[in-house]
Amino acid sequence: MIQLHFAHQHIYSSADHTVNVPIRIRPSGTPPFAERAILDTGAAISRFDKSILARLGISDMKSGVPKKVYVADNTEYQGYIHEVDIEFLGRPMRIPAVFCDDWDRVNNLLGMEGFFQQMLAAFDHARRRFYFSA
Amino acid sequence: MDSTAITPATYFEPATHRYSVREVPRDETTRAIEPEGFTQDAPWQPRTNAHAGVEELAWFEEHQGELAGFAGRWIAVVGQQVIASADTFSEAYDEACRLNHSDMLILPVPRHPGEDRYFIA
Repeated sequence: MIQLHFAHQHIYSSADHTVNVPIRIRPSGTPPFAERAILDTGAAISRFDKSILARLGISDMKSGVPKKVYVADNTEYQGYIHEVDIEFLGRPMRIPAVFCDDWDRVNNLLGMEGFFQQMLAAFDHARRRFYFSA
Repeated sequence: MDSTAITPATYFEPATHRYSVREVPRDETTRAIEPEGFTQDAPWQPRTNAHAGVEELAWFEEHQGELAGFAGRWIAVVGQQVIASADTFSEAYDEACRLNHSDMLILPVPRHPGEDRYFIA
């Protein structure tokens, strides 16, 4: 038998079967705010909407590491990876996230590289619970 | 450590796979969230906030039908109330700040809130 132990649980709402969680952003010199993100184990890396670029302290999207990104329908985009500081349910984290100029009002996704990589995590979707140790 | 190889078949076997949740004492949680040396860098952000956006997001998810008036706009939510709306993220954020809010949830309202749909990333 394999047993996993988790330090934290988060109860989420999910009418459409996505796992929506808040992430907290702390801009320098202005009040912090929360944004919605989807926990997406199918995403190789996190991605954020470009609307919060400046608040994350990124003035030039293209100063990031260029990377080809393929979305669910296999469309290719030119993305740029930046290391960003977020707070996930009270835990400060620095994660790589990809931005793309062509994406407007897209859902923020928390993906595998750098995000789930930093934690032990499990879903109990029937009960709308996310367990993790970070 | 158990050196037995974990195969997908054993790893995902529901009959043998259980999990448990450890209750973490509050002081231990506090130490984890506020590591030693964490500095206060602004009056409005003295600490991390594990609750930021939690109530607001739950309310948003469960009250889509009430958001038709904000369809296609960005809103700032505090508690269970929309405190600002605008055409852009920045405008909604700035308006919420002007009203002296912090840790507001800012997000775009779908063009058809409450619509039965699936999102596949």
